[in-house]
Amino acid sequence: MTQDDVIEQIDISGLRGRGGAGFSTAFKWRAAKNSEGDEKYLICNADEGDPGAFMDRAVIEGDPHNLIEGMLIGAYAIGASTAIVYVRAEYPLAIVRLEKAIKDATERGFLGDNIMGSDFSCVLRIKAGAGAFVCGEETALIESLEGKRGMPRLKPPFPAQSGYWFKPSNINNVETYANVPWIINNGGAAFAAMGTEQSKGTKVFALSGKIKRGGLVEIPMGTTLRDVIFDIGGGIRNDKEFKAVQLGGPSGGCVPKEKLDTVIDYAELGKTGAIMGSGGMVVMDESTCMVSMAKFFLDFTAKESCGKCVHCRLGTKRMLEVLDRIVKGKGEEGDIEKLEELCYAIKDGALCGLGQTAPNPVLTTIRYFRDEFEAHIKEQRCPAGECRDLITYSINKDKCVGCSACARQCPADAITGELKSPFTIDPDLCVKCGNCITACRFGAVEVH
Amino acid sequence: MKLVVGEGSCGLAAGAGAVYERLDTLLKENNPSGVVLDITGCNGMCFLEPIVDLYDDEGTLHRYVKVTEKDADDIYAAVSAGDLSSLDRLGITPDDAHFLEAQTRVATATRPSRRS
Repeated sequence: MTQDDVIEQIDISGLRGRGGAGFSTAFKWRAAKNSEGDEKYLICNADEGDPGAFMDRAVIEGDPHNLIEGMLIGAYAIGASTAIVYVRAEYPLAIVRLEKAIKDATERGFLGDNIMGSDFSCVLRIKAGAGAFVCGEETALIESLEGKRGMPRLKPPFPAQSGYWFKPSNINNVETYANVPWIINNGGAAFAAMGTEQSKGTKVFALSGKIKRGGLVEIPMGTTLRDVIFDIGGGIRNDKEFKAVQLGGPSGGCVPKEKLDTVIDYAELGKTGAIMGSGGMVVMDESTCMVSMAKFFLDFTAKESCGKCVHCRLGTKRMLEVLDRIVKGKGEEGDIEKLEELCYAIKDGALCGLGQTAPNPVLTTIRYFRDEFEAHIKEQRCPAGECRDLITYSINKDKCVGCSACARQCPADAITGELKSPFTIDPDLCVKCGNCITACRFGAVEVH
Repeated sequence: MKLVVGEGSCGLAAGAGAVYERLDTLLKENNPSGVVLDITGCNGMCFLEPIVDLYDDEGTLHRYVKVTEKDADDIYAAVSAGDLSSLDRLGITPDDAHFLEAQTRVATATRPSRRS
């Protein structure tokens, strides 16, 4: 196959970037191939920074040769003789396994000079990350590869024209490359036979949260969220009520019960306000506070903001302050509007995807769970019973038998009483750790 | 016969390392012929880790899940005796197997073991 033959098959397959942006892989490869110059680079983004995402880790730990093969095909297609995998440092096992795979492949002549006796030569090396979520953004990743602090560059120029050391580079996610060998072996049309009109092939999800069967789920695009969560995932743990599913991690949004029949497709998910993302799928039940969840993700993105753009750096911080007040019962009239204003301002003023998508969890939770925000602000009440400052633990006298199991587990010595009489919790001392609930065999501890 | 222990980070976090070590020790001490022990990555059924896949002499797969270090002794005993029926309690249930069967694996395809 010539370079163009390879790109043709990828084009027919309709493969879109699996890192989250969903950009046409063939388009990127073609652009890199057509860029002038002999020095080109093929890069694999194995930073996988989304909390709750482990699709890429499983590929690298389990079948690193599949990744190497996909990358080599890409390197051949664009004319690169150096390939680099940027793996996050938090995946030490993946790095060890990949190093062995590279060594084994090199010994067998699949890497290095004149691969399998052809004119094509390519070396592959690993660069470990250093704990920055922003380095999952392709231009910040390139900066990091060059030994600089991970901060995004302005695009255009795109990496295909000016990337690593300002040379033409192609960056794709691990999962994108992992699909390539199958596509070449079975033909692009076979891949395109699966999925929807605009979203071809399959997608890997990391299903976690309040689910009975959590793990890696790879299904054809077009499958409904309901099928993934209730058929494959087996439904909610302890058969509680489904509340929402968070897709796409800190850049994504939550999808409520009414939208469970949404099909997995880039555009369809986008309509709900969420995104496909890299594949993180966290399931939530009735005991999850959506305000608290939005705060969790914003806490993450605010910390991970590189600081280059004022809107992202300060905007996320200000939003976090507002959300912090709300979960502590100090929300004020106008807070929701303030949050929305900040959300849109950050989206406008941020240079890279981190800032542009950081407001998504907040926007979707306001869109679908506005009532929870209002309960926190107007009534100082957390409907899910999760926000510590808004709940009180108390013992139901009718259920308590006075066994003292709870008092013995209390780290704050907040529970007192006489044996065989109902015990009481002092709300001033209680830290709401939940030990008493776990210890009580009579279900006597209640949360209000 | 081949025993494959899932050693992705998920499996290791659930205790697969200890299961492997125990099987390795037992096999080395007693050296039954024709039994190979190997590791593999994560097959995605994280909720069932540690997982031990046993390929019998006909090449049929028997998937044992939530295997503990103590279970490793039972697996070794069953393999030595040539009778796997005592391991049925560890076998994956059809409901749980559905998790994998309902999927279409391309990027995370698990290729069957080629070495015997």
